[in-house]
Amino acid sequence: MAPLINVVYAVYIVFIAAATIYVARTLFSNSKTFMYTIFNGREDLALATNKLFETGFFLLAFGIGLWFLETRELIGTHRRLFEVLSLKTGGFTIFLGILLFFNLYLFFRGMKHRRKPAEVVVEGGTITEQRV
Amino acid sequence: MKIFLIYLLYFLVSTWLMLKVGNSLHRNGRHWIVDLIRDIQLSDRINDILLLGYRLINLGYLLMTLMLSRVREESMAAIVEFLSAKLGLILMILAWLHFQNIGLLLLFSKLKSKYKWHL
Repeated sequence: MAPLINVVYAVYIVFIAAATIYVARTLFSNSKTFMYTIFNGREDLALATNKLFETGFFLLAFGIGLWFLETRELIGTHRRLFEVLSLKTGGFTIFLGILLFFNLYLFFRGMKHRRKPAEVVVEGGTITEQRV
Repeated sequence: MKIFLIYLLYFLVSTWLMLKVGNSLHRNGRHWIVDLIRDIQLSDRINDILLLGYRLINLGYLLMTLMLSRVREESMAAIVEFLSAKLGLILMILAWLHFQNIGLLLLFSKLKSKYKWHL
């Protein structure tokens, strides 16, 4: 039989991948609405910023998740296996929740400082275009 | 021999991640630089140079930590611990650089809109 620590690591890695992807998909498909409002019709900038936020979210979540994978404890019983596993996955879920609310805070801050009507960039210079 | 394979795996996975993240940032950060500099050709050149600098820093870091690190024993659990701790650290460094870049872009655009400052 494989040592119980292998079970902990396997379940934990699958859990962090699934949770991060699920949360990121939910958050960043809905945040597009915020971005369109913040950037006032400049679709390229809105989508690019959304993608940048998403990249940062993935990096932080996977980084912290993988960094805290190691368990020093010798796991002898199945009871301890479940306890360690729930502690680790629970901690990671709370971290994801904090990250989610932090992102929401940033979006609402962005809504406060909305862009003025769009300016259009052309090659070799600037043309200012007023939009409603 | 097995240790060598683990290091190779670590190096390949982290290089792949680094390049993928870099390309994504390169593609999406371009809009911001164009918005800031207002000259498409110049901002593309600047963007390419930024990407090159990013790759150099990260490749250097990857190679350095590859040399400095040790796998404790040859069990499956120890290998997973080693790989995940190193990859996690690299991802966090990338996240840190990423947020630093966003902060700089925001600072520049604020300076520009507030004080009519030009890059």
